Amino acid sequence: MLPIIVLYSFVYLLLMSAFLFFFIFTRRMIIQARERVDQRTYDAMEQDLLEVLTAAESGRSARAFARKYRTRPRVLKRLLVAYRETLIGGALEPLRIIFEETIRARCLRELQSPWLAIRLQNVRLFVDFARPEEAVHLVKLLHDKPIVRLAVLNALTGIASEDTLSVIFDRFENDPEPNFYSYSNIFNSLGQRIEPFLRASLRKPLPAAKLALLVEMAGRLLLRNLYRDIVRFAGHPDKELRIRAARAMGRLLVPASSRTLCALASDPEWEVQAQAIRSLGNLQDWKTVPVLLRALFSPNWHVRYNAGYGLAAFGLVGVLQLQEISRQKEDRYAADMATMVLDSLILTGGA
Amino acid sequence: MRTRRPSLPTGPAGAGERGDMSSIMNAPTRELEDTGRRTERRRTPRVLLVDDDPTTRNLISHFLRKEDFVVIKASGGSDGLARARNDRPDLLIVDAAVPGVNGFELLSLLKREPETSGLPVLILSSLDDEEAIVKSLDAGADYVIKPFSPRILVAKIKKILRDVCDHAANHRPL
Repeated sequence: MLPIIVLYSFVYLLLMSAFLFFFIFTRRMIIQARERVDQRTYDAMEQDLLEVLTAAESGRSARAFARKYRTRPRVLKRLLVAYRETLIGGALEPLRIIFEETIRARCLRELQSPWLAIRLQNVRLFVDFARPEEAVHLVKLLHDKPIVRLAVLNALTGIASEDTLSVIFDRFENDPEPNFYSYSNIFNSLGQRIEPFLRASLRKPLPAAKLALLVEMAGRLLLRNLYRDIVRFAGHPDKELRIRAARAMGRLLVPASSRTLCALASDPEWEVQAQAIRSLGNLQDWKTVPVLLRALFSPNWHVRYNAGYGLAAFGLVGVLQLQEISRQKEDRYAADMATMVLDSLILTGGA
Repeated sequence: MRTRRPSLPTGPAGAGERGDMSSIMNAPTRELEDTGRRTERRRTPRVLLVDDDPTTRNLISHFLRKEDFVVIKASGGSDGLARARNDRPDLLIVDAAVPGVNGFELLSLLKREPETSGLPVLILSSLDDEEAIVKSLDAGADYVIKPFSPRILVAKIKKILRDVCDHAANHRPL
């Protein structure tokens, strides 16, 4: 009985291995044959595309090209991706016409593909050929892998019309789990043109984390017109939002912000104090020197550190104050910090 | 120092005039095939194109051929160097990041040899980097950033060849 079972097992394994081998071999042959056919089509298509690019009436030639090759979307997509990355300016117009008339709908569908390579290939085409209304499909990919996110950012920056910006901000406001890193990248790349949308969003009752990002962006993009919208967050119950407001004020350098920053320098949270002192250092308002001097005696190291460098930013007057504090004996920590700042000024030449 | 002067195409009014582009197209030329095989015929300007990206190679060579240039293609720096020595092109277009001997190394090697030191060079690069641009210009090469407009590139190539032609004519011994 046992030898028969062994024999059957052996035969079964043999057949299974043969089938697997046959399957792998056949699959490889089919893929290679398909690649050869695709390459031939690609070469022919490339020659025709080059003729389109040099044609006198490139628009009409592009339409004829699209009619001829609309049944070969896979190869066409490869060709358009390659040429889109090589060309710039008016030379992209025939490619846009071909894209519009052949594979746009397919590419939009494939943005949801489970395969990373396919999603990336499609997003790359949208970098140059996206329409503003398609921003909503692209924004969804801001949760994707970093390489796709980067391509999405490029695509969105390229179509930064009013409609696109509106879609991006709507998406940000309603996103239940926003990827703050991606949104900060996109806001950064869009630059100062986001000001009206940023203002509108800052006035909405959004979660503190979202408002914090918007306040941060206003500071980074130096949107001074948003100062009034930012300054009201100085009294917000959320600590992070107060920190961001203090930081933004330190970047915008609006003289009127010194009063708010002085108030924040007495905040119960040391993180807020440290940021407010640092921003006061940036602002360099003479009236705030006593606040910085007081902060040098703070029990918190970060506050003392920012106060020391804040004073140094005032030049000779600040240095004299630091020397005086370094000589006093009442607070050893303040004296040490002042000495450290003075030493670093000597070593770095004040840089 | 190489003194061979590429004949540039000249227009109907200025046939044979110094620096006139259409004289290049009509003048006696020698055609070179991509394989490097030579056929003595009429002399048209020859451009050596060194780039490992087939799309860029095909695109540039198609646009240049439409303008009646002869294009010699190479996909690597070492191959490009050999072609530059043997085929004596009128202009070299080289990608900065070509495998093997890169674009800048190729440029410095060519500038060191008396036979090729006068060869005008155009560096193609996707690096929009100040250092790289200054380095190319200092070495006497022009710089084009990828992606590029092929029409602008062709116009630039024609201008470089016209300038070489003018320079050669101005320095011709009396």
